[in-house]
Amino acid sequence: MKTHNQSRRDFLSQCALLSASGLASPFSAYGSAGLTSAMSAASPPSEYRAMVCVYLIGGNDLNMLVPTNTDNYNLYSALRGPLAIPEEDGIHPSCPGMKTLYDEANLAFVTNTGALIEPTTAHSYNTKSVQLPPKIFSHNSQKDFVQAGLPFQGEKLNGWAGRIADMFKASGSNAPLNLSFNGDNVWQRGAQTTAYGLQGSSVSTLFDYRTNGLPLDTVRKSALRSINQLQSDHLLTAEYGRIMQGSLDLSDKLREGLKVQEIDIQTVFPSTRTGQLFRNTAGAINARNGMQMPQQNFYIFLGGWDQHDGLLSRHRSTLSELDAGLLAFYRALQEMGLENQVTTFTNHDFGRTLKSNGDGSDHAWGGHQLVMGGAIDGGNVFGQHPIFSSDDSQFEERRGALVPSTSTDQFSATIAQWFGDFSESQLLEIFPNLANFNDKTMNLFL
Amino acid sequence: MLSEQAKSLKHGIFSFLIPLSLILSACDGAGGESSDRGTPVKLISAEEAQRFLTKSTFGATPSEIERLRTLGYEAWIDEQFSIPQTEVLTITDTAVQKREVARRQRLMSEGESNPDVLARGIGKGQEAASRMDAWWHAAINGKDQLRQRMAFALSQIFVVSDSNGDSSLRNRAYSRYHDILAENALGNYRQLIEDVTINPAMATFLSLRGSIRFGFSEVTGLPDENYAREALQLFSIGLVELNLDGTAKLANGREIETYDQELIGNFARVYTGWQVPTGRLYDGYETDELQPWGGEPNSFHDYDSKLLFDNKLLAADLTTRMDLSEAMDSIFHHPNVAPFISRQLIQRFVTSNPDPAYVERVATVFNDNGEGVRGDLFAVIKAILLDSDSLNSHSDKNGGKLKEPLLRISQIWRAFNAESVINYIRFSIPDRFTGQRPIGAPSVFNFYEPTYAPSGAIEDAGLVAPEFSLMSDGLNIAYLNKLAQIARSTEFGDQNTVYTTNSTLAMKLDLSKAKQLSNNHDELMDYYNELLFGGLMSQELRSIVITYLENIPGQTDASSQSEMIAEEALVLLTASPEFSIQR
Repeated sequence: MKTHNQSRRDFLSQCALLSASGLASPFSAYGSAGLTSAMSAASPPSEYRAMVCVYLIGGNDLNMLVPTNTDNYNLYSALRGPLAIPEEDGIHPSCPGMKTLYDEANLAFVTNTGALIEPTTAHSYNTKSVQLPPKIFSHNSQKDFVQAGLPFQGEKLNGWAGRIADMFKASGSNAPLNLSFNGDNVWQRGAQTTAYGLQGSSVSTLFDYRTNGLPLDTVRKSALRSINQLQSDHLLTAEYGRIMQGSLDLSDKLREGLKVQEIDIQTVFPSTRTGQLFRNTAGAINARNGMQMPQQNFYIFLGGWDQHDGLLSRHRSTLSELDAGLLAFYRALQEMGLENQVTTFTNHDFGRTLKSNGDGSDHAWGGHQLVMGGAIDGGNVFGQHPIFSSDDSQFEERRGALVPSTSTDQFSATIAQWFGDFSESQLLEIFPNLANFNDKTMNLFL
Repeated sequence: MLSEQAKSLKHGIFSFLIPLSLILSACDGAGGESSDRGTPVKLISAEEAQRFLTKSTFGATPSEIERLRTLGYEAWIDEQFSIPQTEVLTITDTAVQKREVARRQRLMSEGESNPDVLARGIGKGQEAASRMDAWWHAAINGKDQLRQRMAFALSQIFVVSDSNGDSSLRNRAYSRYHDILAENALGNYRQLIEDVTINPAMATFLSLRGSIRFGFSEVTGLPDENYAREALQLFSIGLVELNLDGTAKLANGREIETYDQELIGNFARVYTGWQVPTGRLYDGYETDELQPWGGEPNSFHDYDSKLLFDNKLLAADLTTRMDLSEAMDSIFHHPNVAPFISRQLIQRFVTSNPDPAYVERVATVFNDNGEGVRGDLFAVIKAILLDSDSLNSHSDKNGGKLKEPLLRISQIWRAFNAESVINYIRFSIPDRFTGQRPIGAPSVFNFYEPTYAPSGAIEDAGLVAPEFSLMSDGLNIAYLNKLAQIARSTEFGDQNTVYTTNSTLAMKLDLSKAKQLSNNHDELMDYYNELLFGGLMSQELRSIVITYLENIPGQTDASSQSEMIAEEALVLLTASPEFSIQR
């Protein structure tokens, strides 16, 4: 089901016309899938594929997309007051890279997605007649919710990329799948698997420092291994040793492989932190064979999006850094010939209020995401477009919050299905909340 | 800024908290050999003292171990209360001046003579390094160890960060913020939250500064909710209603959320109309406090009535400051504060998984220190450290915590009396090796969350271990390498570069005692066991290290032989899980 398929010029122009999206569906019974049992087995796809999750901690302000339809722009502008930006191409002016990729049909946007347990409207939210994600508007609670994709009924905290890794593992695959530039994270955490935490462009090793011809460095590493593997009846002591030795072993396994670059990447990446994270991601993709990773998922964590004040200038700066990184990353993927096999997408805690608090926006709910890749039906805006008025069943007027019209789980499940060729029942196992929605996925992919 | 309530507290009112065995052995809480009743029943052993100091300071030293054994636990804590505070801001300013002098000297030696160039400041990177110099100096060399350790713990609850904040805020503001936490660390929580709320660094980080009432102009929307929300979620009561023992209250099997959007909106209205009184905040910290914006009446403040906790109505037309004071009281008297703060402090000092009864004992003291005073943090930390669950924590198989990486490193520096060529401990970018930088967490959610559990046996047991959140694979290896470098720092590095690099090379450990024992590996292990492990080193660890030492080929030079033995043992021991975990 594709809700909209527009040319760039018509960007968001149909907002006012939008009434019934196919995503709006009657409430169904609360899902209560038994998550305590292990995930079923699923074979990895036969070709290389990768997902790159760019997590914008704090929540991306809605200004990434601006309505181009005049009526909608006027509603937007009146609501946002000092936070409104001029109408141009619908895409924030500091994102020329996104615009280029959108025009090339390699990038699409998904509007008004957010954490939902079941279909929700402003009315059902205000009248408390709907089951809501717990502790809504709290950063960490919503981050956990969107990364986990679970109903949060007491189960262990793990994420949908982690559960996918569990399913591959259950089918006999021993290859590591998840790589993180921010250590342990909910998204990549499974019941049986965890992400490998990369530090930079290479995997370091224990330094040798006895240069006077002694074989001590080797002996010391072996002694450290014995120390880490000592049996201990003290829980934290035993777990520290297990985790530390796991890091040493996996680093040894990945270190040499990461040096095996398939091609000499020519793309120049920005020198910003974001640019370097994308560069290092490209480097690890370029070394997929050396690292013996038939599939990869990357977690990139970008800070600075909690823009309660100074929003206009701060959002320009964070968006611009993201934008330049994305463009360089896509060009590098094209160099490798992998642009159809790697899908990059944003996620965040929540969208932010439309109404200004003076010079910033506060925690809200529905927000916009982007998805980038050759497999994407790019140059489109998907999802139900916000109208920004009391006529809109998804608009909560008092704080100017959007009630999500598409659940993050529907967005995530779409990408997951592309990645793993999952059946609907497998998707429901990964995303139990989907049972409450008629449409399990969106038509983001060609 | 110590509250009068806290200052008036005297010694000796806490004996009801002390386990019976300790009272019997320690004679009226004084403990040790100073008792005027003559021979004490039982001395605190060096190992017990080491373990107590591992919890309560930045690391046990031989002299502090002796001091504690002489005074006894409670008297040692009381003594700490009266030690003057180490001022991190003052040290920061001195460190900046030293760097400026060093910069001028270097430029002049390179032939620079332009007075404008020579007079230029050192730049933000070097200012940040100066702030770190000062923080480490207080942590390693400050006599007020308990106060500084508590300030560090509070900085991880009342989080301000130099990352992701307003990049124009100067480093002096962060040093001053640390000092304000230290001033209140053994004072009262009520004063602490007010000082923190209108502190310029906090008010910039969480954007309370300059928040404007609804309707101030046509375009002004609802006031900024940032501080209103985070102060409730993270600094005071948390997201769900708690029992006194820190467990969640349940209604029909579900947790009960502590507030809704309506309440956040009301608190956000309270916090409107605060601004820095002078324009040059970023060059320093001209003030510790924001002021009502333009005085009273304050056109930026919302003077309408507000509904706070328990439906308490805050009357209309109170001044900006009275509104704030009432809101602080409303938070302060919420029943969640005691268990919420007590449990997190126990996690910082003693164990990741306190028994609910332990939390309840501490929270009870938080609510009433025995003299009717609520929020007495000195009484709280005393209750935490003197509780039998703390004094006996090493025997709990599921107890203890992963030491914070900065505390593992500070412990080594203190144990071996680290010296620096520049008088300061130098470790300017510790986050690159540990994931931790004081007043530099990735966000207001600190370096780790109190509920974090790594997957594996800890999560399977239903337990948490927040500090494990920093054990990212690549970081683990960077940490081990840095640790090995620190343990082998028995000589100063290149002294000419200490002001231009941010390395740890400017420091050296005193391993003379270990070198003396290097011919007898058993005695060497005994020495390290007492000083670093509080006597808890396992036989298995000892024998692996001894086997390793026995295989080190003999050196022709006796001095380098003893140095190599002392260093190699220390490298392996400090990397071990047994050293890393505080039991």
